[in-house]
Amino acid sequence: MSTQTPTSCPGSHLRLVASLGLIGLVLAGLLAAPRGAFAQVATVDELKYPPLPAFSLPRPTRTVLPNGLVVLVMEDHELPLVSVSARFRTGSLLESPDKVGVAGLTGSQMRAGGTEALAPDALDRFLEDRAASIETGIGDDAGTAAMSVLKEDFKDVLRVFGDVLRRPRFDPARIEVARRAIEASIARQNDNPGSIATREFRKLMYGADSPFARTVTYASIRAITRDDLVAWHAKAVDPARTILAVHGDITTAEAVAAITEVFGEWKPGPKVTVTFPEPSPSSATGVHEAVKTDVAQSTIRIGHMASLKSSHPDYYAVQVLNEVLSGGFTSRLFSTVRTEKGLAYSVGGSVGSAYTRIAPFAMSTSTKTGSTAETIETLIAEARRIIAEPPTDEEIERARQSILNSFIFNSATRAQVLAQQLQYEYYGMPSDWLERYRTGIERVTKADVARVAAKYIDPSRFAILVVGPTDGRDRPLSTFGPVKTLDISIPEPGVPANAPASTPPDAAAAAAGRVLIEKAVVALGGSEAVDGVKVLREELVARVVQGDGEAEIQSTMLLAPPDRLRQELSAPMGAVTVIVSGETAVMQSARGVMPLAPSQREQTIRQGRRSLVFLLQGRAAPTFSAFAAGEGRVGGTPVSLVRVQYHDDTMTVGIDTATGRILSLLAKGQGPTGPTEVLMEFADYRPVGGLVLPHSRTSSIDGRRMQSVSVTRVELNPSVPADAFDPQAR
Amino acid sequence: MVFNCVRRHVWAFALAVASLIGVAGPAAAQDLASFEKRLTVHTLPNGYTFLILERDGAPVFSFATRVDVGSAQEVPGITGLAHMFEHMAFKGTPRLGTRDYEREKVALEELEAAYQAYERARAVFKPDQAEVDRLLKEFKAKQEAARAFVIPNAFDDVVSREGGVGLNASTDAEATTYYYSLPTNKFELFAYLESERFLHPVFREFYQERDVVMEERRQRTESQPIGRLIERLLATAFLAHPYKQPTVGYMSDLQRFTMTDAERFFRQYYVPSNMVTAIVGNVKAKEVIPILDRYFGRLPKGDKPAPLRTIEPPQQAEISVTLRERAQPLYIEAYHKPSALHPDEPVYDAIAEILGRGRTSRLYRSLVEQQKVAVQAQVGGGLPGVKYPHLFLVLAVPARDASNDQVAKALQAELTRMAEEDVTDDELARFRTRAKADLVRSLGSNSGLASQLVTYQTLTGDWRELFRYVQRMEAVTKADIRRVAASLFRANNRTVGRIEHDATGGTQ
Repeated sequence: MSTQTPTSCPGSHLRLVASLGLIGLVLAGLLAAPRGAFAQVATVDELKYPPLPAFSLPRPTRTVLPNGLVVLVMEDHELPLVSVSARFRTGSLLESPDKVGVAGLTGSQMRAGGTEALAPDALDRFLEDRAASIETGIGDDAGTAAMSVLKEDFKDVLRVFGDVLRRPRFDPARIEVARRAIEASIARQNDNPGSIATREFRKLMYGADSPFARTVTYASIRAITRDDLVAWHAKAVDPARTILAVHGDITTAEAVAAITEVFGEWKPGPKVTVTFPEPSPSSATGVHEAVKTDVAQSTIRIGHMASLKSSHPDYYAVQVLNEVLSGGFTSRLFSTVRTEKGLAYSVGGSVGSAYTRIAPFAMSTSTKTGSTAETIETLIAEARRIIAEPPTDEEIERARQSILNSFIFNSATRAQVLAQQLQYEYYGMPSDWLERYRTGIERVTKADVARVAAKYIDPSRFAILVVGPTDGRDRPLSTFGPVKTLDISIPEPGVPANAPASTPPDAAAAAAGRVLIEKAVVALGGSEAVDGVKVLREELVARVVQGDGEAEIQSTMLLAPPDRLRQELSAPMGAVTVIVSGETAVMQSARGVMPLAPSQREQTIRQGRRSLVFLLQGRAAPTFSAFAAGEGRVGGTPVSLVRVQYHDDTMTVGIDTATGRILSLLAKGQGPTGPTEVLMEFADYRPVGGLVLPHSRTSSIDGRRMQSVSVTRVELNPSVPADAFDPQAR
Repeated sequence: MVFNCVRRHVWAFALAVASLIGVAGPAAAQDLASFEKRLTVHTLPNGYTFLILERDGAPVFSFATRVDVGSAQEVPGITGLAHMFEHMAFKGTPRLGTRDYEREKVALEELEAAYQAYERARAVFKPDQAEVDRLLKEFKAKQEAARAFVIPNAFDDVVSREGGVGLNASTDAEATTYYYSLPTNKFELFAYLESERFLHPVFREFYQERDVVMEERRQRTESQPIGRLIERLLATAFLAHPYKQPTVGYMSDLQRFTMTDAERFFRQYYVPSNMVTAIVGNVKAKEVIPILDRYFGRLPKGDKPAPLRTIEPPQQAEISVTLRERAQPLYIEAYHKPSALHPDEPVYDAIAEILGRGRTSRLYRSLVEQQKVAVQAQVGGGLPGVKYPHLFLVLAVPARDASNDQVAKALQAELTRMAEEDVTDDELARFRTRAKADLVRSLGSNSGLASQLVTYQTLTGDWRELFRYVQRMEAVTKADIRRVAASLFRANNRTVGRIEHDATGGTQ
């Protein structure tokens, strides 16, 4: 290996020490060293290492009980302890969107909520009296249960462990305690900039509504009942989909016998194949910020969804690539961002992957606000550089040596080897995964690493996320492109239609929200002008992004709240008219008249209600509430965010702090793959009658533009043909 | 999201320290005997102490070097220096990390002279801005000149290339600890690097690294509600003792202290008699001792630093500190307690465990389950250290619809009960059983053992105290608990720290 050899200066250290006046003592130290033995070396390159003694640990034994339960056992008699780990096939990825949190709650309550035989506090005492522990949980794609016990208590505690897995009580009082803990953590979810960044970046990578990024909300946690937990558990826990791993001071025969006694008569349910969803390979692009003023740094995440699974042969070259990019202090990101420029304390970046699914390429760090742009630039430059100047022989050799020379630490203890085999068994990985890994790393070439760098890292697809204060940056974020301000306000529990909010977030935010809404009314033309609009007619051209291209749609919209609307569209595939009149809603086209589904009708009425004039008209309605929700930016313009609830609709409105104009509206809408958050941005304000209305509306999802609307003509209170809202008229 | 390399730190507070001092049980005597057979204490003529523990298993070893110096050895103006030196200990030596040490040495001297000139110019009452700017430019030029000789991160590079794992270090209020693990065939590499880095560290890239430490402070203290609260709480609870100072240092000190300050600090505290290294793994003492002698014997003998003079006076006043912030509420009560060397230490452990450990604990049962005012409660000694008299902490996270005042009231009832009523037989039995199990569970890992051994050796002068602590825990009585709780939980011994939510507050 051709590292730069540190210049050896034989006399130099003595001179340094002499300057400290300590040379005599050093010589004394040298003389005290044993004679005959080799002296200490001067430089690290002079060290010669003996070969490492061969060492290998046995694999665990594997037994399959007649009911399908897989039992792995690893004996280890060093300490008088036994532990059992279980994995069962379930996960939060399988949750429905309205019950986000049900898997995690089921997981924690299997243990915390007691068993049929032992009430929760009796179970707590039983375990803690023995200094034993049992804990359970359900993660995104696996359920886990683990017990640890002093050897003499193994059999007693194992029986209880069996009950925890199979017969949990789900005590309602404990569920309530857990629910309160979750609600407290939701309330605290914006206290820490790192957790905001992690959460929001996941949304940008996977899509806000994807099971990989969704988070528990007050509404979703309140929607979960004890019955949901019972049902989830019944579905998730089955001997044929469970693996147990036993480790410790017990013989294999004893362990298998004890497990058979407790779990042997457990009957499997019907055969079910559990399949987890896979992430979409597309992710948001562009610049996103979440404003947080009470911190001293910008927390930065940059990346895109990558396309690697650990089962792919490229995996090994990517591990070497990751090591070169951010594997340690000598890695490129670390050397540049931390050591050379002193921009950050921690920095990381790697191409992620799991065995069964893809993951993002992501870089992360945090830096003082005044070096935000410099740090973003440095990270992006390093990402580009690893493609343009792929790792050198020297870098690759260093990365490979680091991985291979520390290889012994991957299987240095029996507990480690067992944990690995449990993981391989659960994910269906080959049991010699580690050996394959070693061989794979040994074979990686420079060309491989260069190829995978270009294949898995694509700076043109980067999303940039910054969490922190907006004031005091070295350069505005818009240097890197148009900036989307993310709404990180915490949604209050859903408010039923026609009912006032039961728990207003706080009076100050409500008062501030009112003031901002009034300011927006003034900016739109004043209350008299706003409230005087009964009917609004708009002619517009919409450009809709479709695949790689755009479709242009001409449209005329006639809005007459509260419940009448007519929209005429002339799209490339023909003319369509949508009419809503009270409870009736139809779509007319060349193919005839079709009634709209109730949900489509709702959605259409909601769109009408979000029209700015009519939205602000609603401000006096009992179903309207507005709360100040922090500061943000639209493009480069600072806005005050207001969380508005109107009828059954919830949205966040960005109001230009200086002018009072509404510049953005974030609300639920229809995305290509289902309901999602749609950001509408308003621009091109022009006077119309007594009002000043935006003539440009751009909609985007996760930073991807979906549609641009140019309003060509607006009429206030036009005369309306008698049959304009008649569903039967053509 | 992989977040790598959070290294070189740990001035963070750790409630866990309490449980480090609290271990052992019935099997301990037997364990001690077996450990005594396998553990060799080796002290060099210069005063450096090694503990070598032979274990079967994979051909690997872990080590921990504990230097008996922390932020408690600092005074205002140089706060953060113990931690800063820890960062500098990774910057290499005259023979590692340089392209030409002869010339680099000159460049570093010029760099420091330039910095001192700049520092003097800007520290005067009415600085001449043009002159300050000129000197700053000159300093930056010298920094670039010195950088040309640097092979960055060479120390880390060698360790990582040769298969080292877990390379890191930590600084707290009273100790600086360095550690990693290596395959056994690289034992001489360990001896070479760890003796060289303390024989003649080179303070290269000092001022860049100072910037990194400022980022560390911003990230871990200034941008975290709990970080801000603990810093303020310590500053308030201690009147005189340097435990009041943040280990990471005050921002103003980080902006001003110099390479010369760091060198002075190093010379004073990094003397062999102030250092202990534990080596745990598949090594033979007989084989490694000659290597240790050869390499570490080179370190010059020095005087053991004088002990701290300042003793924290009794509190004699209830104190409260409130941060009004955008963050959600938090509630802390801190009480002064004696050093961990005090005979009552196991009694404090018993109080902490009965109040706060596990689902059977009193605070969990009362505050979380029954009254539902909190969602979490933690209890323990060890803030910010254990060597000198320090704080016993109770931290509660209020529920979403509960106030700090409600938490305070519920907590007060439990603390009073501890002082006025005996604990139950079950509670005491549980405490003893857990002590034994904790000890057994702590003996499993090489690196965990190494760090425990150096901690006990440094604090008590004898690693065996790790095992002897068992008997002391067994001996704790109900009367002890009442007596200690009554003296601990006095209003005049209390410092309350709160975060109160204020939607408009806390802008930096």
